[in-house]
Amino acid sequence: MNERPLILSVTSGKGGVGKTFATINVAAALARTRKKILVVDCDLGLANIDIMLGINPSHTLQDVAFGNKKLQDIIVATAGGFDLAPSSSGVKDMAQLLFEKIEMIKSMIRELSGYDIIILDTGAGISEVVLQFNLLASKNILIINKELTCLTDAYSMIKVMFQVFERDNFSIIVNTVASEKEAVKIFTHINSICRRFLGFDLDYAGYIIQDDLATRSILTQKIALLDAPESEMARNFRTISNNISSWQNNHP
Amino acid sequence: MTKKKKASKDELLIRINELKKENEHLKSLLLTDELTGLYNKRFFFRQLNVETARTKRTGQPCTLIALDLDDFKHINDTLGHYIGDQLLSRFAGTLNKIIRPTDFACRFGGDEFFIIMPSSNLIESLNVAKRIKASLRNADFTPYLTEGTHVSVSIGLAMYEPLQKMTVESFFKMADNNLLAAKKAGKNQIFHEQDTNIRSTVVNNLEREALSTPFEEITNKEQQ
Ligand SMILES: Nc1ncnc2c1ncn2[C@@H]1O[C@H](COP(=O)(O)OP(=O)(O)O)[C@@H](O)[C@H]1O
Ligand SMILES: [Mg+2]
Repeated sequence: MNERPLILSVTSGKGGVGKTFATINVAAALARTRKKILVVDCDLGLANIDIMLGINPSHTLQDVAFGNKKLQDIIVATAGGFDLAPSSSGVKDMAQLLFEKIEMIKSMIRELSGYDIIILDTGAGISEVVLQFNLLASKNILIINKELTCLTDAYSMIKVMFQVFERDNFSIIVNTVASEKEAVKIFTHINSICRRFLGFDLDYAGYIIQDDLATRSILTQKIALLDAPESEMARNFRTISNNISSWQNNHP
Repeated sequence: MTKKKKASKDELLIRINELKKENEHLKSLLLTDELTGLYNKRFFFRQLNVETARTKRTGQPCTLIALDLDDFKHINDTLGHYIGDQLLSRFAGTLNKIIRPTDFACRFGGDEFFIIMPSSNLIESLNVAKRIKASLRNADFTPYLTEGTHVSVSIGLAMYEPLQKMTVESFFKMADNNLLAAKKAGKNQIFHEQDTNIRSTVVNNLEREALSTPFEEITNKEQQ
């Protein structure tokens, strides 16, 4: 195990593209390879990992932000085999947390040990909070689909991270596609635009097939990967997990 | 001789004080709106620059509320300018009552108003906007209006976040565009869409065109 965990963020620019769904399934796939994984629900506005997993946390990131708890004390184990630092949604002053509080949460995450990989599931938009969590990660995983608004938002996110913060380490997961061929086409499209206008390439982490299994597993508060391990979707998540593991090996 | 000199020195001091007062008065004329006593457009743009620069130091976002009374022209035309002006002053008074002491309410001209809310987020400005909207239902205005008519307001919000590469102009435009969208959507409502505007400020036309090119063409080009 590395001294310092590899910190990744899952982001998109647009909401409802499958960030959270991908996060918990990839985390579960990684956990199956006997890695210690922590997922942090950084979507302070619409936190919903707890709901997707059917857990009812007694303490959340909000308690940490307001100084009532330490980050270590809110972490719970999940059925997916990974740990979770949950958030609570609907706390209205959380969506735009004060700068210092975000900084405090960030440094607490940075100081955590005992994990191989920490995955930050971010909220929608290119808000301050989302940018801050993306900055904490050494690599940003962008979930995209074929919709123009989604591609444009993802590109906006990449551009801001690159031009404002000089980040150029992005990996793409193409979600809700009919085939791998379609995923590669979409990836090639956005990659060629990044190369042309920003001067660097993105890397490709994999794709997730469109399947009602996603909606069903969310409804029943199960993890698709574990509920239907033979499905193509589960295979997709295992492939993505293998790719991520290879980053970890190169991680200093 | 000496007596006279002394007197003129006093006079001078008095005159200087008078000039100072006059200056203050002129300055306030330069920065305030005569009818409502709110700040004017000149002050607004000055302060907007100050506040956006401040967000970079404090790390705290700043928000902007754009307001425009609905069908005000109709009120002016049917009830006359005197009533129209009374309404505007009343409205200004309401704004002053609702905003925080640290906020800046400005009249832009006509029935268009802006409020700068330093160190605030969208939730806070949305709350203020909602209270302003609700206040128009109060009895304050009824003496001026005929039975059954009422005043409503359309509102656009925008948030300036220090880490975003947003210009002061696009911040202003975002609030104004949201106000326009609220009008278009049928007035008497609040718009605060952030995402689409961020998209439009970050992505330029060339990039937008490239993004909307069908995938097939792109992949073919790549292979050539
Ligand atoms: N591959 C997929 N196939 C079908 N539906 C999907 C897929 N991925 C995500 N979804 C659906 O999209 C919705 C939004 O997913 P979610 O993970 O909450 O998005 P985000 O976190 O980006 O806001 C969910 O209801 C989920 O069922
Ligand atoms: Mg989510």
